[in-house]
Parts: sequence; C-alpha cells; structure tokens
Amino acid sequence: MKDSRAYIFSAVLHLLVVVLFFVNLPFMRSMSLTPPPIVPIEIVTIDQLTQSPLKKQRQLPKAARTKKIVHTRTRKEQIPTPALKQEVKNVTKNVIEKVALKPIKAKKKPVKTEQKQESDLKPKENNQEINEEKNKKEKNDDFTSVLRAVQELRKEQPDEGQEKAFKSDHISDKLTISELDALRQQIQKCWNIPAGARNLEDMIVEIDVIMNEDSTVEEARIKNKALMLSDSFFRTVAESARRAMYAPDCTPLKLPTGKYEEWKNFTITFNPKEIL
Amino acid sequence: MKQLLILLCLICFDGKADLNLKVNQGHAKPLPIAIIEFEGKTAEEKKIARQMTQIIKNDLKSTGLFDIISKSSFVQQSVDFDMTPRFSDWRLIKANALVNGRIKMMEDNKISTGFRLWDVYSSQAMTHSAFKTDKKYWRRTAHLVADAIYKRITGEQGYFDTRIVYVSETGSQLKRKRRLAIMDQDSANHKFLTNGENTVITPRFSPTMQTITYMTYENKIPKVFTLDLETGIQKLVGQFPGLTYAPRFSPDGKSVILSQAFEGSSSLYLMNLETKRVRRLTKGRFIDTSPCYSPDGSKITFNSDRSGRKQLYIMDADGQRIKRISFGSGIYATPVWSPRGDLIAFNKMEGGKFYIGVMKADGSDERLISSGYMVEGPTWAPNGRTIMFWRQGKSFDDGRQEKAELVVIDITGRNERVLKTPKEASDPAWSPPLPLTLK
Repeated sequence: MKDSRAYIFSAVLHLLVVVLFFVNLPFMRSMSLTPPPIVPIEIVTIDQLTQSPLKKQRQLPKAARTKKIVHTRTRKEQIPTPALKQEVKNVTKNVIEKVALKPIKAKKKPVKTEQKQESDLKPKENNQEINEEKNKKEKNDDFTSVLRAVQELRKEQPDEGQEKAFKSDHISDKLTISELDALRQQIQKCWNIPAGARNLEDMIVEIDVIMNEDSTVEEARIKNKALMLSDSFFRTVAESARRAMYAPDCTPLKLPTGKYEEWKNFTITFNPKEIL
Repeated sequence: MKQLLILLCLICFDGKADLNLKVNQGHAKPLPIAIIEFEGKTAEEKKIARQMTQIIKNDLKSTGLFDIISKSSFVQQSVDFDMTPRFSDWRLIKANALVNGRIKMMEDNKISTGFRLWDVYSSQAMTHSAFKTDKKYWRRTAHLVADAIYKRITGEQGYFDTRIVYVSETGSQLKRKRRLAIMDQDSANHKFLTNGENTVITPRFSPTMQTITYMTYENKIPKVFTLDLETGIQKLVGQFPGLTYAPRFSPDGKSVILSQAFEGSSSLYLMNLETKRVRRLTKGRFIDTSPCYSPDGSKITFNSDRSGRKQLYIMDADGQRIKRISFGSGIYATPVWSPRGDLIAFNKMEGGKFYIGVMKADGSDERLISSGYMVEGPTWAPNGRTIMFWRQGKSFDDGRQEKAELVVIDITGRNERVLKTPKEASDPAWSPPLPLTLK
C-alpha cells in the first residue's frame, strides 16, 4: 500500500515536472537579451541646422518649387470664404492690437461706451459735467484718429503671412554660423598684426569691403580716414588689416556662391584687443 | 502726436542689418618685403647702389619685423624707377611691400638717392623720398632710407641712423681696462673715445644733442663728466662733497640728475649744466639711485631701499609725491623711462638670476623679456620699440669669466640678438636720432 502511494506520488511529481517543462514557467525562462531600441543620431553640420526653410526650398527641383509657389497663391485666393475671412480678420486684428495698439485699445474704447450708456440713463446734472464729457470725447477723438492713422498704415504694410514670408526670405540669404566662422578663420590667417605697436589694444579698424562675384575683393576701404591721416600707429594697424583682405591666402574668400547678394558688400571689424 | 511719431519710427525702421564680421585673431609674423637692388648706371653708382641696398636690407631684417624676400624668388627682376611695378608678379611671391630706388652721381662728389615704397596688395605707392648727400655719407643715407621705410610701415620713428656709446672691456677681471667707445647701431664706424687710463662707467646720451655724460675714476675718485662728441670737449660736472654716480640728462639736455652718496645714504640731485646750481630732490637716510626722467620731464623714476628692499619709485620732477610702482618679489634696479613714455624698462634680481623687464609707468603689466646669469643696464632705442642691455656669463674659479656682450631685444621679448663689438662690451647707451647736419 505504502509502495503504491510512493509510486503514485513519484508519478505525479514526474508528471508535474514534464508539465512545467512544457508550460514554461516565467522563472524558468531564460532572460531574453533584447537590446534597447536603437535611437539613430544623425550627424549634421551646423550650417544644415541653421539653413532657413527657403534655402531648403531652393534645393528642391525647380518644378517642385514652382508648384509650391502656385499653391501659396491659390491659398490666398481662397481666403474670401465668409467664415474663414472673418476668422482670419479677427486673428489678425488681435495680433496687431497686441503688438501695436495695446495701450490704446484696452482702456479707452470700453470706457467711452460705458460713459455713453451712463449718460443715456442719467440726466445731465450741470454744464461742467457736460464740458468734462466734451473734453473726454475730444480726447477720445484724438485716440480714434491715432488708431485710424495706424490702421491705414497697417493696411499699407504687408499682412502677417506676407511679413513672415519676407522674413524667412530675408533669413534664408543670411550667411550661416559655420559660413561666417569659415570666413573669419580664413581672414584671421591672413592678418599679420604689427606686434608691439603703441596702444595696439585701442586700435579698432573698420573696413568696408566690396566683393566681386568670384569671391575676390574688389575694394577694401578703411572707414576711419581722418584717423588714418592723424595717427600713424592707427594707419599701421589699418593697413595691416586692409592687406589681409587682399592677401593671396584670402583670395578668393571662402563665401557661399549662392548668397552673393548677402556678401557683395560687408563691413569687417578688426580688433586686436583680445589678442594682447 | 508723440506716440504717433514713435509708432511711425518703429514702422519705418528697416530691421535689415548689413553683414558685419568681427575678426579678433591674427598672427604676428615678419612682414614679407621685397627690396630690389637700387638702380645705377655707372660702375661706381652700381657699387654704391649694391652696398646701400644691402644696408637697407640688414637694417630692416635686424628689427625682426621684416622678412626680406630673396632675390632668387623675384618674378620681375627689376623695376624702372619711373614706372609702376607689376604688382601681380609681386603678389605671386607674397611680397606685402616692395622697395625700389635709384642712385645718381652728381657734381661736386655728391650722390642723389631716391627710393619708392609700394603696397603690393593694394597696388598703391606708400611713400617716396630723395636724399642728396656727399658721396662719403652713402652709409648714413642708406640708414635714412631704411628709417623712412620702417616709419611708413610700422608707424614708429626709425632708429637706424643712430649710434651706441658703450664701455669696451679688455684684460682679466683683476686688471680690467674699461674704455669709452662709440659705433653706429649696426656696429659700423667703431671708435674709442678714451684711452683706458681711467676706468669709465655709465655713459649716457643727451636726448637733444650729441653729448654724453659718464662717470670716471680719476685718481681713484669717481667724478661725473660730459663729453661733446663733435668737438671732443670734456667737462667736469660740478664738485660734490661725496661720491657721485648714475648721472643722466634731463629731457631738455640742460641739466644732469645724479645720485650722491654722503654719510651712508644716497640722495638724488639735479644740477643745471649752465648755472652749475645744484638742487637736492630726495631726502632721508635711504639709498636713492638710478634716476631717470620721463620724456616730458614731468616725472622721475628711480630705485630706492626706502621700503626695506630695492624697489622702483616715481616722483614729480621737483621731488614731491614719491610713489612706489614695483611690488613683485625680488630686487628691482636701474629703471629707464621709454622715449615714448608708455613703459619703464628695469633690471630685476630674483632667485639668483637677473632679468630685464618692462612695466607700464604706473607699475602695472610687468613683463620680463630676457634673463641670464647677469643681464644689466637697459637702454631704449629712440623709438621705444627696442631695448639694448649687456649680458655676462658665469665667472670661473681661475678668474676667467664668460664674455660680456651687448644684446638687443624687441619689447615683445622677440628677436633677441647680440650686437657685434671688437672687444667685450658693457653699459650701452643709445643715442637719439642723429641730426641731418651731423658729419
């Protein structure tokens, strides 16, 4: 009897082991070594980051660019839908009021309305009150004229969308940080500073540069002509700076070819103070 | 109305700013300059032209500020004196500046020297000049041309047409013979001024004329003399009860300031060379010595032990408002005010080593520009850009000592070079620019 129980017990245990083998209890599972998801890091140069949207647009094929422009125009033409128009107007109005008319809008207009309402309800007590009211009215009229003038001016200004477009257009032509750094580094290598010159730390030279389209300097003009004539030490530093602009190692200058409009004229300030 | 105007201004303001690049780094390398051999038609003209060109090159090169481009790299081998150079050819070899000139023999053994300096990169003439001199002064003329080039490019007065007076030393340390000697700043035209009978020390140039003051031990008694270099006339500067030393001229050249030791202390005195009137400037039981005027004559710098250790001081020319300017560790001595007034050169001893340094006149920005076993006696070039001093190496047990020599260095601490002298040399003094009438 005892033996049969033992056999049964043993059989149950074996069965349990087999079941467990198939069931795969969590603690018996081997820990899966799934690596964490890979986060891709794209290495880009700073100019790519600082490139404005328009530049990216320009990099698109010509057909794509044209398409986008057409699309923008279509959107403008679509505006006269009554509800949309109203919405746009309100939004535009609010933005402009916040920016330009904040001090006038918030206080004066509601006060005027309330006063009018009050005056309608209460009888006028005396002439003095009437005069005061008149004066206030005149003041309010001044503000109204100011508001009108500003609104007229606003009409002459491009709308928000146009303004944004202009801004982005403007930013897009700007030289990027890395382009400016490359230019600066190139010129630094060409600037032979007259070491040991008197008051060198006070000599700040500004040069107006006129560039040719091939990135060579057409003319480098020292701005402070009067100081050039009166101070021989300044002239020395200024001439060293001008020579840098014509130096063979700075001809041509490292400038992006597509942004000639941005760098065809520029001012360069040479300041030896930080070198000393 | 006011608000409306402000609004209008804001609206009308064009926010577009032009591109403005700031450059605040560069390098300080010698300026590449091409010097074409001066033109000459006759054999004599050509010979003088060649020698003058070489002197101009040497002068400019010695400053450390110019890199003379070798003739072998020239694309355009010669430039007609009356023509504009082909700038593109000179740009190719990276010449920043170009010099050409012409020598012409005239009547009465005179020569005419003309030169032109060009800015190659901006294709412009920078300066030109002509000198007419006696043929024998061709060397001075070359220095004058180098001065003109240096001045136009650096903005500083040139110092090539100057002289050095110094103490020439011969013999062993025990039997040392010290003679006064003079030479051009490039070691040419050397000559001795005294015969070495009496030991001579601390020669100093007058800032206005070719006169020197120095101290000599006549019959073992130290005395201060002046010597006119043109006439050779020697004069004793006053009779003082004690020992007088460290003489130096006032900026107008009419007085001499010196130190007089008496009863254990040294004070500063000023003596008018015309009236012989003596005025005491400092008082007290201190050792005040090495006085030197500021170039405008309003202040005097000197060294004194009044704070317990030798330090540098400045005071007003009348001896009032004494102010200490050196506060570093070590001992400071022989302050010399720069001719351009911005710096004071000095001698410093610290940790068994000697230094030559410069500091601003208020004591700030102290910089040590040279060091050695013994470096002493700084003297300024007339333009305040270069300092000369003398250096001596170690002495040995058998009495031998390393050679004493004159050393020239730029105030930036660059371009240290030894000046050639026939014998050992110490105690140099740099002359002011020579007058054009000087023979």
